Amino acid sequence: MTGHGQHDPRAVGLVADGRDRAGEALHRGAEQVRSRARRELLADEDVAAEPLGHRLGRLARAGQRARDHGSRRLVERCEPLPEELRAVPARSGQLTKLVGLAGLRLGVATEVDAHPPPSIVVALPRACGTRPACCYNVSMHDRTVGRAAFLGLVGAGVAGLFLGRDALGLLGKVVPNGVESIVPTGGWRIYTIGSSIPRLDPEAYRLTIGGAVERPVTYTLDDLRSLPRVEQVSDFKCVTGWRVDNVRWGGVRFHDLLADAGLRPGAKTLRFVSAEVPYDDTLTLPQAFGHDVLLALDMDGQPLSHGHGYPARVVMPRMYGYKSVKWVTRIEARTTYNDLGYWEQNGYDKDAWIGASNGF
Amino acid sequence: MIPRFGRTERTLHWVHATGFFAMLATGLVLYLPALSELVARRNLVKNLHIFSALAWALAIVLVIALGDRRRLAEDWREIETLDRDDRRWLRGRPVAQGRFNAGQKVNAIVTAAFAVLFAISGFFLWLGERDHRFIFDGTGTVHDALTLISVGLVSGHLYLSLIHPATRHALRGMTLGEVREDWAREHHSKWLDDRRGL
Repeated sequence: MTGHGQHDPRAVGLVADGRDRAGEALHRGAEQVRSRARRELLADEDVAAEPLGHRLGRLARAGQRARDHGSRRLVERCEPLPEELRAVPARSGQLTKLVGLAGLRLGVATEVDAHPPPSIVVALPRACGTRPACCYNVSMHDRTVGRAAFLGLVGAGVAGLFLGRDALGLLGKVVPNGVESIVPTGGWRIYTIGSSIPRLDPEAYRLTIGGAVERPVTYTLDDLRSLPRVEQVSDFKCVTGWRVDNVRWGGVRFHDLLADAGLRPGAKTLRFVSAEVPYDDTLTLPQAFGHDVLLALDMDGQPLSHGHGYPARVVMPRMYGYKSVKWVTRIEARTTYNDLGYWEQNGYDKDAWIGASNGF
Repeated sequence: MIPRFGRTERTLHWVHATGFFAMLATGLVLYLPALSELVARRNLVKNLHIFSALAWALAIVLVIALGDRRRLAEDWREIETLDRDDRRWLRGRPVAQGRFNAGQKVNAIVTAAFAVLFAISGFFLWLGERDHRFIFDGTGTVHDALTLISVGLVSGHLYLSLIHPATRHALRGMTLGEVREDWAREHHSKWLDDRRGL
């Protein structure tokens, strides 16, 4: 069952390793094992002649040596344990402490051969597993490299959560240009909830304004373009984490857009309905009338592309992008505050202020 | 034939693999602009992705809870031990290897760390949409970067286990649990020595 031919007659085979199992085994075999070991050790004159402290010190130094030179000796696996590591006192508490200092762990070993029979406690590196005491000299360093790598990776990744924009820039530098057109390392991403991106016909396009207004109004695209036009540069942030800075928008402020229809007293919010059914979302009047909020028709000097909501979309830069409804075909003045938009019905925060929670 | 991977180890491997590919498929649709536009239906795909993630996490927990934990712990101990032989092997020297060679150890360590990071970053992506205080600048970037690197690692893994003639016998260890002794002798001789030592 064993390769004891290769072993010193006193070579040992492990029954268990590690502090826990050492304790376990000691308790199981308990007194019998302990007293036998003690008898054995006391019978060994060389060892017994030394005070306990000396023996432990010797053991610690041996452990240190094993740690320092261990890996070099790995090839000589299955050689017998050095005397210092084999014959040690059975008082495991003290031993564990010293052995721990020396970078080794405690193991419980038994004689492979039936005689001499006693079990003895030896110091063994955890890496030995349940194999014979053949790799006792694996160094501390060896054993922790993998764990350090694991913890280091996890730590770096968690740190990355907070250093994201720099990481994104770095990734953009690493990823070759050809790949960048397929894999987004920055810039826009087009999200749609329907089966495809809506492609609205500019001739057939109508924007209706209704709900709590004095006069419902229907605009064609040309009508919208004839309203007072504003331009602004603002950042666009998506709730999923990406952002695009300095987007140049052109379009109409809601104050001007609603001038013809006229809000009825009691109107509190504007609900924007998208051609991408069933997408909608709502802004309160103070939000919609903000200095940087508009119904955009142009982006970066061009009419909106289909992906960006052609021909008209909401832009509310201080809120996450899902509030900036694309492909707007209807604006409804509402007298209540309780409308939930599409993503809000799917769990998103109704309060979409970037960086703060101000309440709806 | 000699036994290489037990039932728990194999189940864990295939649960992780299934979860990975389910999340990769749905994740790529969410992530790649071309695919996003082609498939659209973002809410549906998103729900599938999140469902896969929950099922994956639950299955991993179940395998660990109900499986041979002692064996798994021993695997991990072997994996995190990168000894001098392993370091030499990684530098391309033909050094005898144990049950896991150094490349397998590195792959397992990276895979385990990535699984944790995928879970953390994915959780915060989900939570951030619901509570904006938990939106961090890099959550998406970390999740994306993990995906890109994982695709590279998995490609290599698939090449070695399915195509490369010298190594593809290893797949048998992960499917049927056993490998040929001569193959083990050639690739994992230290492992065989240790087995005989027992």
